[in-house]
Order: sequence, then C-alpha cells, then structure tokens
Amino acid sequence: MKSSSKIIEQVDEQLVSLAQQGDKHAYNLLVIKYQHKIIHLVNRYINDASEAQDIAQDTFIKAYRDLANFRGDARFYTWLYRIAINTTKNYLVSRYKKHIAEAISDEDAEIYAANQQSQTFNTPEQQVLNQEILDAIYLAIESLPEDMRMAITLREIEGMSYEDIAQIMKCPSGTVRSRIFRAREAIDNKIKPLLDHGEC
Amino acid sequence: MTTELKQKISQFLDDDLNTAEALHLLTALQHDNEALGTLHRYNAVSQALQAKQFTLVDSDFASSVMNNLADQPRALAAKPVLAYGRYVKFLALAASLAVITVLLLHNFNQANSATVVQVATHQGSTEPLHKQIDDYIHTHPTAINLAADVEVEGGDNGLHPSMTAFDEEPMGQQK
Repeated sequence: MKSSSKIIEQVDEQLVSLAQQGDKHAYNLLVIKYQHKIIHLVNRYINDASEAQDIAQDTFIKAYRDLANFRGDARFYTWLYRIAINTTKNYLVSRYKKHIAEAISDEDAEIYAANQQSQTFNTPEQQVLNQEILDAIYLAIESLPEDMRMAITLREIEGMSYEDIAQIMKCPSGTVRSRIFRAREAIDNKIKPLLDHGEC
Repeated sequence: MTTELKQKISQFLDDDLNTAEALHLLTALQHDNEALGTLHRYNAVSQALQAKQFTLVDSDFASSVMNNLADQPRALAAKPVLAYGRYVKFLALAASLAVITVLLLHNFNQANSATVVQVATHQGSTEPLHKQIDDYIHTHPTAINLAADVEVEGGDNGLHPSMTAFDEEPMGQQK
C-alpha cells in the first residue's frame, strides 16, 4: 500500500479546505467517505441501526456547523470521531441513560463498546436477519478458493496491508489486491439476495 | 457498473487509491446509486467480519445529510472575518512601523541639511574675506611686499596664483 495514511490526509485536507470555503459538494464527499465509520461507531453504543444513523446524521450536521473551528491540528476523522462520541453521549443522556453516558469518554470508549457488544436493542426480526446475513458471509468465505479466502481473512479480520499479505502469501501486492476484490465480489453475490428480501 | 469501478471501490475501502483516484471515485459515487450501494455492502461486510454485526447504511444517508444542510448557513462565515481581523492588525502594525521609519528618515535628512547649510554659510563668508583682503591691500600698499616673482601653480593658466604677504617689515628695517 502506498503510504495510505498520508493519502487519506491529503484527500481530507483538500475536501475540508473546500468545505471550509462553503463548498457543500466537497462536504458531501466527506460524508460519503466517513458515513460507514461514524454509523458503525455510534451503533456500537446504541445498538440500533436506525437510531445510529439518526445520530450519525446529527454528527455530520454539527461537524458542518463547527467546521470553521477545525484547524487541522488533528486528523479530520479524529475530530469527527469526538463529535460523534459527544453526540452519542448527549443522545443517551436525553434518553435517561445517564449511567451509561457517564461511562463513555474518549479514553474508555473502546472498552465500553466492547462491553456493550452483547447488548442489543434491535427487534427480534432484525436479529434473525442479522444472523442470517452473518451466516451467509461466513459460508461465502468458506466456499472461496484457498488463496482468496486467506487474502480476505488477513485483510478484513487481521487488518493487514496489501504489502504484508503479499509477503505472507509470497505473491505481488497486485495479486493480493485482485484476490481481495474477487473475494468481496463473491461474498456480495451471496448476501445481495438476502438484502433484497429483508431490511437490515 | 463496470468491474473496474467495483475494483476501485474495493481499493478505496483499503486506502489503496492515490489522492486523485480517491477524489475521482468519491465524485463518481455521488451520482451513481448502484456504485454507492456496492460501497455500502462492501463496508457492511467488512464491519460484520470485525464486529459480528451487519449494519447496512441507508443508500440515501449522505443525500439526507446534505438536504438538512441545505437550510444551514454557510459553515464558515465567521472564518474570513477572523482572518480579516488578523490581517487588519498586521496592516496596522506595518503602517505604524512605516510611519516611524519615515519620521526617523525625515529627521535624519533634516540634520544633514542643517550641516550642509552651516558649511555653505561658512564657505560663503570667504568671498567677503577676499574682498577685505583686496581692500586692505589697496588701502595699505606699503604694508605689503609683493614677492618679485609670483609663483604660479597650475601651469600657464594662472588660475591659482599664490602670493607671499608680510604683515611685518623685514628684520632690521624696523623704524
């Protein structure tokens, strides 16, 4: 991978700079870029996909209003992350869950999230569908050829870079890139019919 | 949707695109719901493998954020004002320094002019002095012995004659 963190920063810098000049189109690209991370982050505390998206939406609106105060001292996502955490805390307080909200701080957010994994506010139907999709994903991975299964597992579960995977698998990083893409395509083909039938 | 675009989405997920490619893809995603759906699903699978929870983002999430922002005032109306304030302070300081510099230079030049005037005045007084000497020579012809030969400096032009004048009578001729 070609110094990905630097590239992320360059993309963010350009988009933030344009958005700070009032370019809403540039801000839209930032929303597209970070919507998944923010929604998943909020959902770890809320455990309700629908509410998580509402809170994530508030997060992006607050961030836009406060964009003037973003000086670039930290990465844009770090700044956005803090806004998301604060918005989630405010939401929990407003829902008379102060005892939960107090437990969340920037420092122990990860620990708190890990403890909340088992707790769920999703409906039974959503839980069943969620499990069905998870099963379909694991089944799709198991049915992949060995090289693709290894590549996608090292990337998604171990979080390794293309270069690291290439070293382990003793192949060029371009091959790793291709194997990961084909694995994603195969998984996507398995879960798409399930998503078309139900809402998750 | 092309396979190439799907591969770009996969690379984007892994931060494998360069700045220009990433910006190009994001721009393309704005107007391509199918491609955006693919990004959402790839992301959801990625998150599911890490957190064991599948959460698919609404396909219109970004557009609903932007619809809400449509009513918002421009985010950074305050920033140019702050920047302008700093700029004005800087200009004021620069202007003050410029005025001080001009005043100092002006005073310095005045001091030099006064010196020149003084010198000029002093030099101007030599004319009357010559005239006084000439007058004195004419009125006291016996008091001065002109040298028999006039030494002339500067060749034939005779511009700088030097003369030797004696206020006193030669020794032994005192009356």
